[in-house]
Amino acid sequence: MDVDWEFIAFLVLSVFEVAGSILVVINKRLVRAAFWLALTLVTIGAIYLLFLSEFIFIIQILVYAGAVPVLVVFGIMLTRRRIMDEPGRGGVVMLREFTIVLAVAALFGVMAVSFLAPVSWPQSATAIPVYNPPPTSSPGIANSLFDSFAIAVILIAVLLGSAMIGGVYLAKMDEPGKVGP
Amino acid sequence: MIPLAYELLVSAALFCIGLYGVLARRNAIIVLLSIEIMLNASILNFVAFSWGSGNPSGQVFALLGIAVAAAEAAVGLAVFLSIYQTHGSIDLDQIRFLKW
Repeated sequence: MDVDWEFIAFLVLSVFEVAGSILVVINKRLVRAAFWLALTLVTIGAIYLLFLSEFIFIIQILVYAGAVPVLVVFGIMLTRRRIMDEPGRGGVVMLREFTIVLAVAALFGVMAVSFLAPVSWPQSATAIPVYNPPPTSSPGIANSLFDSFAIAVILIAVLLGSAMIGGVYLAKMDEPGKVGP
Repeated sequence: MIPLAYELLVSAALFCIGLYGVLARRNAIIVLLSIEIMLNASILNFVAFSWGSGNPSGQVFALLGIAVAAAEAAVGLAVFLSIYQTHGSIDLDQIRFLKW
């Protein structure tokens, strides 16, 4: 019997991914939520590998699974412990959460039906005007990145640099009650 | 061979879980993590469609999305930490100084 291991791996990773993300949003402790987020991000990276996108997998592991949970955990641990606590919830909050669960489940139902029903989605990629691979070479991701999308790479660098500097500026505080240097 | 519809289902489930986190949780950092989950769901779609159609442009957009999401996480965390230091709480029901 021919077993489709790729598909089985995808299903297993999907279970881990969805379970991890559920644990992120229902967790009461911030640090645990951050580590469950790390699990979710690593499994998403593994799914990128299944989709033959090794470069995006590396970037996902470096930027997301490496940096974001560490950033969150250090941000929490360098402040006081009270930032982790969430105040107790009354009946009104429970009603609100129940309503939100219903609404989100309805949204997921609509999306699932539209994906599984025989809708005639377009089967071929629409040509993007700025995408024009050279005719002699195969259109690889590096071609796109550094030929057609070179300005996007530069903009990513500028955006990341300015965001990090802005984050340091916002978080730096010499005296209590004063934001910014 | 992974059917694209199954990937779309997983991505939709991730997006809905993240949406629940954004709407239901009151801790601002959990909301930030939920936004990360939602962004990852959309990036997963980019990669899957790039694989399904054999066009690497989707991976470029996924890269752009990852960079933007990382920047958003850094700036959002800095904003919430400084709100915590000035106001003593990051409960989104209590932070209402931008409302009148």
